Amino acid sequence: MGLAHHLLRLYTHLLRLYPPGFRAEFAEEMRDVFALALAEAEQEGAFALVETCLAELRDLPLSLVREHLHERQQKHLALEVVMVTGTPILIYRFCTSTLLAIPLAYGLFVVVPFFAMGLHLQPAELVTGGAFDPGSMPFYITPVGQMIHLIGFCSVFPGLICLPSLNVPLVWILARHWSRWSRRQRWLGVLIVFGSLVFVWFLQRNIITAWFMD
Amino acid sequence: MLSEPALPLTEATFLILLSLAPGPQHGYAIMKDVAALSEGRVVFSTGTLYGALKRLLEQGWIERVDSPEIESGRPRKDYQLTEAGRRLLSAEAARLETLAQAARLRLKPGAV
Repeated sequence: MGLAHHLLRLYTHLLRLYPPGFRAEFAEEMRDVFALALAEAEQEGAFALVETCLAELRDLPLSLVREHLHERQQKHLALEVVMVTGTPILIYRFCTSTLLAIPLAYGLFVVVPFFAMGLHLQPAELVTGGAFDPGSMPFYITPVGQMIHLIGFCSVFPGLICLPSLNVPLVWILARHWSRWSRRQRWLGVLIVFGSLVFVWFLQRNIITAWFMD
Repeated sequence: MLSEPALPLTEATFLILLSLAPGPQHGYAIMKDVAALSEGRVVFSTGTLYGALKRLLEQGWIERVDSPEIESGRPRKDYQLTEAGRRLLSAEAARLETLAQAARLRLKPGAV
């Protein structure tokens, strides 16, 4: 088997890097065209063969990026409309350009700890909406207690801002599995997302009331 | 001259449409034709060519037809201009012609 045959096999593997829709539509034709180009270059000599492959490799990254973006744009157009209404577009872009693990990690390791710390240190306000008095809890009078209190105080603000982004992973999961899910699963998914939106709204409303309205 | 919102066309689009103007062609023939039309200046890789063909198909300027020839055990796919594509190509050619005329007039010795 000649060099052209191996190059064609390599090219066939590289075609797998294209998005599924594009691949299904054009991969076979592209392979045939590349085979013809290789056959013609082979007749002209090894230099032409290398030149053909280099030209293909040179354009490959840009072509891959373009097709992935194009396919993604088509797929997520409807989702984008939904996301813009409730969640910062920047976080959404970040989530859609990465794997599901990223938004989940973001929710678990950034939003939840920030917020949990704030909630833990300020239970009285959240429950009663009353002013916090460190003197009523001896631990907060100590320097360590004061420091933790300060950290908690500071962390509530970013937590409050980040809170709506907790919906991102849920909407992301829903959009990703929509076509695969049954009717019942879709309804359940929509209900969970809706429930999370209401929950976040409820949390924000209570926190804002407890911290700023009294 | 027709007024087309898609004008002016990119050079790649114009060359592909121009290559399909005489009749249906398959991917490799388009690649070769575009290189010949541009005197070797525009040489498509397969990825770039099929990306452009995909866009043209989506816009309805070209369509895919089965060729009577068999390639790799299946009918070869050819591409041909649609009516909209032909109209667009004519409009772009007319636009370029107008520009070229204006350039020739201004380049004539003695022209202001």
